[in-house]
Amino acid sequence: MSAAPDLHGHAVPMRTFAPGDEVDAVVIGTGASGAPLLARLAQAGLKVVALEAGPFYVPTRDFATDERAQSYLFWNDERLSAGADPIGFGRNNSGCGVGGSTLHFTAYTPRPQPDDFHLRTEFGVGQDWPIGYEDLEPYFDELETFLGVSGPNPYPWGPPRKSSYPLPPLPLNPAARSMQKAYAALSSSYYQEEVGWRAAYANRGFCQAGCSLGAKASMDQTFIPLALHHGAEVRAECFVRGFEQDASRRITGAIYRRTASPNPMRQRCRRVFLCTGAVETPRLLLIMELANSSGQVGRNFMAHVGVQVWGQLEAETRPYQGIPGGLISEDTHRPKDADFTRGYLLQSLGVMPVRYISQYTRATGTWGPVLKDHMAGYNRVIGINVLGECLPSERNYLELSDEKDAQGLPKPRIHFTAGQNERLMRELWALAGAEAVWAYGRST
Amino acid sequence: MDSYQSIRARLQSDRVTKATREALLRRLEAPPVRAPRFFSPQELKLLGAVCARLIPDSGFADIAGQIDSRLAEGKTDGWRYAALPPDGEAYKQGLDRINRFALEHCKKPFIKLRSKQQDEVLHRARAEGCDSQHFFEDLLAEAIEVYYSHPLAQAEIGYEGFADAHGWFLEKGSPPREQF
Repeated sequence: MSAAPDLHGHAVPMRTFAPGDEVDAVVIGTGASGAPLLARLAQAGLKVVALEAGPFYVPTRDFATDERAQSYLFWNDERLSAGADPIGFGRNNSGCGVGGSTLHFTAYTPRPQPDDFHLRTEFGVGQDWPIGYEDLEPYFDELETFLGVSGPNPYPWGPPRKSSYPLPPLPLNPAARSMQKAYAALSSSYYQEEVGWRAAYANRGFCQAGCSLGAKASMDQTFIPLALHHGAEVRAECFVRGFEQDASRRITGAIYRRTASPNPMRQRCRRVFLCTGAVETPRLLLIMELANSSGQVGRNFMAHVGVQVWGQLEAETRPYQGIPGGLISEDTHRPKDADFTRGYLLQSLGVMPVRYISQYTRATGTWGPVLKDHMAGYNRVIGINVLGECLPSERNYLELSDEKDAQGLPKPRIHFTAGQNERLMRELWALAGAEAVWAYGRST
Repeated sequence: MDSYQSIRARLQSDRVTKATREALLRRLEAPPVRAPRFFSPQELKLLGAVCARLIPDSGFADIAGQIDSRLAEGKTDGWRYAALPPDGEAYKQGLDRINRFALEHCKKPFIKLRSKQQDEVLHRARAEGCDSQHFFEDLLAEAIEVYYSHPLAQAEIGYEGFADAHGWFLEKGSPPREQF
């Protein structure tokens, strides 16, 4: 037995395996896909080890309310962004640490709607999914309850829900401070079977810099404790760089390197689950020349298409307070008379100061005294985000570059160019925001 | 503008968590970089002069020194435009281009020019071409991120988000000022 830290740094017992033990499965990555899988496998009584490139963090001790200090939560190994609309990675995508990108996600978990699964049938573009909403519905129900998702009941869009959101919507404009204090104390902590009491939210809008309260259902506070409880091992600070294969090329082990150690290690295993996101997963498969008889690994890279429209009010808003994407609307899920495929989702936005001004300079190129004049209005900022998905395209893909990273592995190069559909969506959104101060369009 | 002492006192109040206090005090009290580890002393000076035009009155944040430290430590923010060379090389080439513009059009090195001429050179260097625009975009974004990460710059705009110990209670109307 070993130990892993909890939210407050107290030791939680953790079963461990020797690298020479043949475990049933190695799960690579502990984010939104790896952590739930790890827990399920452990619950089924299997011997499982997760290998995670980043360390365990203790949010209440380690996480500063400061963007720059928290940049270690991002996947900072360099990716090369090519194409007509290069994607900004780093703070926008993968994460590093037990919990993966959920350490810096914005705690935002809307469901897809049934028609999202049948795009080809509805519009003649893209592909239909081989599964439907009804196949996934039980999992949505289970996950929302397990994570403790906040939301209105009934939810105004999509088919009626079989299960309600377990927590009420987070406060937007509460009538009185006294009422809200009572409200927060009464209803925001959440008890999780085999995980324990989870912390209440305190309107700290720093989700994207890590939640020091542990209050946003990130994997390190939810599925990882569950997995540990059921006997999984999470081996942190282990960067997987390849696999060991037998004569018939079947994988028999994962090869990894511990942070600051030059020697490669090996964990023997019968199965491997690669749960490292849309960039690292195809990258490792391409490096290892695995699972690519179709030639499709890394192809049809898809992003979220978004436009943020920002303005400044007369009254103070303190945009770092409250959950950034506090209010959503799906009224535009399938807008009438649209000349593009599908629709989009609207989201109100708060923002941390450094992210705000960094996007502003990238979008407008402003510098000099005017730049500081603009930022003087930071405390009065409000924003709205238009969020859509893109269609698969042959032009958008990931390949290995000739440039090597610090570990000697080829850096990935990702090509992304918005298609006609994405352009039409963006044009419409930009028009909608014509009276606002400025707009920022970038795929993430 | 709030003074160094009053910011320091705020950061040391019990309104601020330990992790946040330590990160911000370290930044507030960091001595400026005198001996660059990545740039040559001339390049550091030039970068400092450029940043002073991009963000006026930003000397206290030692933007050029912070960029030098990052590059010396080989850190990146996780991506770069594929059209640009690695960050360090892009900086050296970009700075060289700015200086060559100054010599070509004003017959003096950039740091010897008057502010107005420096601004003209920067406008021109930015308009030069696609790669140079990406460089300018990256430089400006990094400079402004370093600047507004500094507690004194945050005080300039009335930002108080570092007072994180108790969370915030949203209520109708404008949020109240923090009581330090």
